[in-house]
Amino acid sequence: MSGNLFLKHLIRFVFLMVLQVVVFDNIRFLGYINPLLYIWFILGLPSSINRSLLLILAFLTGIILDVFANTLGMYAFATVFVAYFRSPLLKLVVPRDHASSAFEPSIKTLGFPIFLKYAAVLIVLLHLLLFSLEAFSFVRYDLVLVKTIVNSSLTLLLVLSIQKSKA
Amino acid sequence: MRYGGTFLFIILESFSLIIVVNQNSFQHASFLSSSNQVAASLLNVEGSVVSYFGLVDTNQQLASENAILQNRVTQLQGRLELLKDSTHGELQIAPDQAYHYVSAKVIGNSINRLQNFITLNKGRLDGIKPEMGVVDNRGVVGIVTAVSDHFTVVMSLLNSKSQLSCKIKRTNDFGSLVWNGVDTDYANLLEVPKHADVRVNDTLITSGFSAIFPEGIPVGIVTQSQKSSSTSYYYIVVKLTANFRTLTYVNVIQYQNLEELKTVQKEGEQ
Repeated sequence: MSGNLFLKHLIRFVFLMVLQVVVFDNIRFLGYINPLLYIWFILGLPSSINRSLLLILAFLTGIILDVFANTLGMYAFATVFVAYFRSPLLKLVVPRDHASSAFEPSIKTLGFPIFLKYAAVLIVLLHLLLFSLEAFSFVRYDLVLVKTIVNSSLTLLLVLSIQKSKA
Repeated sequence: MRYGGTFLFIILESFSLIIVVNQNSFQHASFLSSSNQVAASLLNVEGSVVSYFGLVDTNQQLASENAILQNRVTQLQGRLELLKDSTHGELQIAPDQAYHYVSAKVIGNSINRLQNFITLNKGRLDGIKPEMGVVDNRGVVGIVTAVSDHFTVVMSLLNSKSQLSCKIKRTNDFGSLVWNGVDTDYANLLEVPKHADVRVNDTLITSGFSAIFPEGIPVGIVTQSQKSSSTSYYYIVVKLTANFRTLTYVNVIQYQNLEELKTVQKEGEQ
């Protein structure tokens, strides 16, 4: 990563983490609203990033959120999982000719339909994993599903609207 | 190199999963919780900003609490005078100082999870230890799980792992209070046998069995009480008295003789 690129992602990381800890992990409305916007950091990293580096970044992101939210490993597990399946998914949804050079996944670089597919799959996966882990010894599948659907939609909407407003 | 990523993936996921699965043993590890010095200091800054927005409510709460306490002081003074008169001034009432309260500010409080925790700005140096009770001016809030020097993490009543021994004030029937995971205002009272008499609007208080909480601290009000046909227990819904959405200041209860009680209980069990 060049210096400029590094700085851009660092700023995004700090911004998203603060937002996640201060706002999204603390919403006191209805009792189950908890969008996970921080994952945009992982989604938006360059496609050329070293796979091990990506996993380590995902793990650090998760563990930091775990510490703040007292969720003990749940964020870490879900984030690393999503990070691992990021590149296979990218290979699957992005056309060959595009994939030959490095790019940062966004609406601008991939176009709306492809980015939507990519982001939606990973975002739903993340929410489903995190909320299931949270319900670990507590069988409430209906609640896990409702939380996943509501919050995945919210997160996706946030990611898309931030990118749209920047473009 | 192709498998390098997968290998690291498995290691990181196993590590995370070990922490998730062994939650109970890691719960007291303060470096992994928000009582961690760095995390708590940041939360503290956030808390002090956020608390400005709630100053009006907080003031009102403190004022009303003040009024109630003042009333009790006058009441008790009256009783003391009366007792002194009837015993010709020889009476010496030994005050019950077994319980001591430490006031703390809430700097982190989640209610949107199944396992909710609260972070406080006081810690070990203020005498707080794991398994102490936490109350606000209306009722029970939770139990301390992790402590660092200056910060404390409390397992909220709104936690699917929380279990609180309670009793109905009117009839002294015991049960254990658990959260249903959905509504932040309500919890369920389990294990109350059908032969008991539980009515809507009955007050639920702490039982005082565990010495975490003294007996008689309000917990909630019964809003629904049904005899279920499939089990031999009641189905009881309780509206919690503490308001978890607006928690700002809480009291941590220190039971002075906790160690002694624990040793005696252990000896008794052997």
